[in-house]
Amino acid sequence: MSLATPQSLDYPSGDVSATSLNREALAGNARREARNLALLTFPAFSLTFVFVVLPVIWLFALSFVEKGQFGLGHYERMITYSSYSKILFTTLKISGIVTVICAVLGYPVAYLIAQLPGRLAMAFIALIIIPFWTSVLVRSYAWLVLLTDAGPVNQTLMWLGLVDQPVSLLFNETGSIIGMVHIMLPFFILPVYAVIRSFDWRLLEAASSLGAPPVSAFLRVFLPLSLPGVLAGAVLVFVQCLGFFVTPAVLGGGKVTMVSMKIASNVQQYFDWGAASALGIVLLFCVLSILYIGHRLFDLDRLLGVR
Amino acid sequence: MKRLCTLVAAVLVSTSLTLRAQAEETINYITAGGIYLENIQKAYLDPVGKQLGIKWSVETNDVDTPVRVQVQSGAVTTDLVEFGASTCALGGAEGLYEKLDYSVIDNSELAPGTFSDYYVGSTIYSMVIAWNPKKVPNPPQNWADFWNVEKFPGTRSLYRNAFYVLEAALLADGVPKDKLYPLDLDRAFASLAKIKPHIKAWWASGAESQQLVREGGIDMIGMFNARAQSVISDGGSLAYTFNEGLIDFGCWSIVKGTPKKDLVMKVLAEFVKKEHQADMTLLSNYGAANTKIEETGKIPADLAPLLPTSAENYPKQIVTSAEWWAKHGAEAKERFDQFLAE
Repeated sequence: MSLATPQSLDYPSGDVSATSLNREALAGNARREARNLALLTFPAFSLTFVFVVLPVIWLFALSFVEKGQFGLGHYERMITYSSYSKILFTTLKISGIVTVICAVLGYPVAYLIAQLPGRLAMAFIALIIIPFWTSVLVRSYAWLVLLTDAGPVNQTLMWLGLVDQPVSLLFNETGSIIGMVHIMLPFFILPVYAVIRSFDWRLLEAASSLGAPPVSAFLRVFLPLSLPGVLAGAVLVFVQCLGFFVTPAVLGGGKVTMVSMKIASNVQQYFDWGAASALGIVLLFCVLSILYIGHRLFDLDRLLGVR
Repeated sequence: MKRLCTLVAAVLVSTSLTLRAQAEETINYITAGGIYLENIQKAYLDPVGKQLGIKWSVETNDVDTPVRVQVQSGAVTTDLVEFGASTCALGGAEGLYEKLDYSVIDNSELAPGTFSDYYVGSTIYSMVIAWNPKKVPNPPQNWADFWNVEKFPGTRSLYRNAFYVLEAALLADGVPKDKLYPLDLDRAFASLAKIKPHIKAWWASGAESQQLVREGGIDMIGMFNARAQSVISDGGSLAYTFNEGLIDFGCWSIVKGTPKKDLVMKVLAEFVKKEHQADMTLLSNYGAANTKIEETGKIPADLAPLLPTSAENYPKQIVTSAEWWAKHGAEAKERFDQFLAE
């Protein structure tokens, strides 16, 4: 319907007002819906605003305060001491490695569980969730016992003849990564499982009936459709790893420093929230940059099914 | 009208009940956790609580961050704290604590240096050299030996903290005991760099140091004397020496602005008495700030050699400087973090 045509001459005026009324009504509906949506989401948004956005802004402001006065001292310190950039790098590196290992180990598990009949699948899910009931500290100390030179892991490796001497699995990054993978795996498996569970298996049948061999049906149909789960799991794992404290502290033997540990020691050393918040702000900035680059490279919105 | 009277009566009765309940005051106390708290409970909190009609609400923490938050914001909820000496000294200098009234608290039996205007001593402990006798037949006897990896082979562990470790590094490098302070940081870190490749793990908590010698495959370690003793009492293979042990003490302070200042002062007057301090020593194997605990007859003769404060052990050790650490702690610890990350 073109508005440019002089139709008002040919058509009774009532019809025109009817169309415009209709349009107005529709627009009104849309407005009402938008308002209702805004009302419904208001509690969640205001909670997020008050408890997440405002504190972050406040932290940001605090990072420029030094002994009650404005100053860039907290940021200067991060440049003066190279330990800060090393700690940031270690944190990002370990988090990345843990995420990749979780993906490699977790994906087949989620795939397997999704194929199992209901009751068996429930049993497997229970097995994955049960460790959550044990504290992270206890699980980390358990690894301390397992990974020593004389511990069961090294004993088994030597008994199998895979190594002649105990491998150093403890008090280094390896130990921290092993412990963190153990704790993070469920966070990867569960979202991937949820996505695979709702997968329409007829798509695979369609693919093979169109002549796709199993491998390419998996790679070109199944894998891309499960990516939203993989990405959700990966983001969950990666972000939680960035804030890990206990496990790298226990299994890293003091040789692995992650940002959270340095934040804690800065609060204790300088008695100044700014000393800790500046570090938090830098970490936040790093993570946002990584997410932005990931977004530009992989179009995260589409993969996560946002659009 | 009758109903109103009943209501008024009910309100009056309940108010008087609340008042009576409030007569038993609650003191909020921050101290270290675990076995330390268990012993503090038995030696101090239970008996003194009963005596003065006090209820305790205990929070465990090793650092004074909560106190700083409370004093800064003016919302003081903690009344009494117990920390390491340098933390008390720093807090006192920065105005976090109330001035102690030594007309209420009797300091005549306390070891010199264990009390000041703002804190009073609790336990005395020592960072000692310990080793696993099954793995180390020829044990190190001082920090220079600990640093000597050729003559004394074995896996090593130290505290993940500049405090104690910098002192040990300087002693290992040949600095005389009495010339330790002010610490020469450059020299200390140079010495520490020599031992760093041989440190298998840096422990962060007392419990972790025990875990390391029991299950972590560590042969030689610098750890707190009572932690070492408790491994031995539990049947673990461990031995230690007080030689060149690094002494520090715990201290009580009253948080500035607490409404219960006078009551807490009376509590501290009880806490420093030799009876309670003797009980704590008996339970914990830590020394006591009160030098007269043996007069109570509670300390058995075979306990003395295990105490850092005994006449025989005390002169072998070095008393760390709370004042130096209160002033230079932040810089030294920042450099230590840098050192570990390198």
